[in-house]
Amino acid sequence: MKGLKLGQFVRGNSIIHQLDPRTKIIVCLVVIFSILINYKWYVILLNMSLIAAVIILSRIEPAKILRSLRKLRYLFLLTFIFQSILTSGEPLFHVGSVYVTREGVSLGVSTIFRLMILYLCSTLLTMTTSPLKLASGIESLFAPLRRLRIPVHQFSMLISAALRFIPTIIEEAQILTRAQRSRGAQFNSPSVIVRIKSMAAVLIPLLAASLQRADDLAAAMESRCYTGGSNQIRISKLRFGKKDKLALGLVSLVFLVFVFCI
Amino acid sequence: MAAGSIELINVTKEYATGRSHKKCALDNITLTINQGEFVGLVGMNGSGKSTLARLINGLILPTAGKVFVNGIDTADRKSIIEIRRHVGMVFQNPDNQIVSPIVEEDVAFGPENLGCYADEVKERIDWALQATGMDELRHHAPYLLSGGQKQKVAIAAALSMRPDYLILDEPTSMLDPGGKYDLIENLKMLNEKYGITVMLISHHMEDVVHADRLIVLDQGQIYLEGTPREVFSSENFFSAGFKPPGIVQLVSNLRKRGHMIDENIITVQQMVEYICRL
Ligand SMILES: Nc1ncnc2c1ncn2[C@@H]1O[C@H](COP(=O)(O)OP(=O)(O)OP(=O)(O)O)[C@@H](O)[C@H]1O
Ligand SMILES: [Mg+2]
Repeated sequence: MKGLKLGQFVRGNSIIHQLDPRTKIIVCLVVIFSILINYKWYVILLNMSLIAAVIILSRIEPAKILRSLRKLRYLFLLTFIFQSILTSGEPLFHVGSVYVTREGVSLGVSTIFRLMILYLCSTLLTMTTSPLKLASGIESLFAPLRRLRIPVHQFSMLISAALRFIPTIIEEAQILTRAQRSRGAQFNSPSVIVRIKSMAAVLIPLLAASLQRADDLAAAMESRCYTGGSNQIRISKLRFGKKDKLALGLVSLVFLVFVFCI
Repeated sequence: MAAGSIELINVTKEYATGRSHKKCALDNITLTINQGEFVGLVGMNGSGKSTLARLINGLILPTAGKVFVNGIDTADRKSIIEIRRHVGMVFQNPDNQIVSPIVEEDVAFGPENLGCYADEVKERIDWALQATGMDELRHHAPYLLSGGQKQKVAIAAALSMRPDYLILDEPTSMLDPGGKYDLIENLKMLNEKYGITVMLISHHMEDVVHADRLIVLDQGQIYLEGTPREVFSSENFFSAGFKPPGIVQLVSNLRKRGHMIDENIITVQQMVEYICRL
C-alpha cells in the first residue's frame, strides 16, 4: 500500500494547507486544552464541528480518516467499559456485582469523543502541514523557551524527522512481518512465548534498519550543509497573513465564549 | 594545491573495529580530480569506494594524509560548509536522503541551509529541477515517484547548492535499466553543458564506459587508472576478477577469432555504427 498512512502529509492546495503552521499548531493546542479542562457535551460538539469543517475545507477524503479511526476501536471499547463500570452513580443495570451507572455511560461516551478529537486534531495537523514547515512553526512558536536553555530547534527537527519516517518504518515493518511469517514465524500462536519470540524477530531487524536509515539521512542532511543549528531563513519564510489572523481570531473567540461563558 | 581540483595526498583511512582491531579501508591513496572531468570509480564490495567519497566532502576525516577541495583542507572544520557547497553528494538509497515530502521543499533544503534569500532559493530550485528534467513534478511527493525519479530529486537537491563537483555513490544500484540509462544520460549532460565535475561510483562497468577516466579500487588501493578502454583491455583487469561490459568482451572474443574489429568500441551504440559502416 503506497497510499495514505496514519498522519502522513497529504499534498494539497486547500485553504487549510495554506494556513501558517503556527496558526494550525495554536488551534490544535486550543482544542486540546478545551477538551482537557471541560468535557461538557457542547464543547465536544463544538470541537467535532470544527474538525468536520477542517476536514471539508482541507479536501481530504473523509473515508480515509474514518478508516484510520478504526485502528483505535479497541482503545475506545476498553475506555468505554472501564468508565461505565468504575464511575459511581445511579445504577442502570448490573451483571453480578458489577454495576453500570448512568454517569459512567455518559462519561464513557464523552471520553471516547475526547480521545477521538485528540487523535483527529493531531492527525489533521500533520496531514496538512509538511514536516519541515511544522518544524519551523514549532521552532518559531517556542523560540522563547530557548532562554531556558531548552534546545527548541533540536526538538522540532526531531519531531519533523520522526513524522517523516513513520510511513517508511511502517512499510518496513510490514515487509519484515511478511518475511518472518514466510519463514514460519507464528504471530498468532496460542503460546505467548512463541508470539513474543516472533515479535522480536521483527522488532530487532526493524530497529537495526531504522538506525541505518537515520545514519543515511544524517549523512545526506550534513552533505547538504545542515549543521544542526536553527535556520532563520526557513523560519522567516513563514507568513502569518490575513487568513491566519482571521482563522485564529474566529476560533479563539468561539472557544472563549463556549468554554467560559456558558 | 591548485584551486579547481580535488586532491587526495597519501590518504589512509582506518576504521576501529573492536577494541584493538583496525580495518584499513583506504591505503595511502594519492589522487587528483580536475574540474570538468567525468570520473568513474569502480571496485568490489568493501574496496573503499564509499569511504573515498565520504572523505572528499568531509563526512569523515583521513587517519593519515590530506584531502583538499579547491585548495581547502577538509580537516579544517571552519571551512566545512564551504567544502560541502562545492561537493554535492548523492547516495545509494533514494528513500533515505529525502528530507521533505514535497519535491520543491526538498530541493530547497540545501540553499536554505546556506542562508540564501527567497528569490535566490527559488532561482536555484528552478535551475536544478530544470537541469534534471524534474520541473513538472516539483509539487509532487517524492515517495510516490519512481526510483529513478527519486534519485533525480536527490541530484537536483545536490545541484541546488551549485556545486563544482557531484559525487554519486552507487546511485544506480536500485534502479531498473531504463532508470539507469536516464540517470547516466542526465549526468553526461550536466558534465558537458554545465561543466560540473562528476564522480560516479558503480558496480556496473556499463555505467562508467562514458567516463573520461576510470579508477579501479581494490582492497583500499588504486589498482588501475586510465581511460575506460585502457582499463578494459588491461590484463590485470581480468586477473583481478573484473569483467568489462558485454560489448567489450564481444569485441575481444571476435578479435581472438580473427575478425579485425575496431578495438576502440566500448558501447553498443559504437558497435551499431561500426556494423552499419561495414
Ligand atoms: N563505519 C565503519 N566502521 C568499520 N568499518 C567500516 C566502516 N565503514 C566501512 N568499513 C569497512 O571499510 C571497508 C571499505 O568500506 P566501503 O564502504 O568504503 O566499501 P565500498 O567499496 O563502498 O563497498 P560497497 O561496494 O559494498 O559499497 C570495508 O571492509 C568495510 O567493512
Ligand atoms: Mg559503498
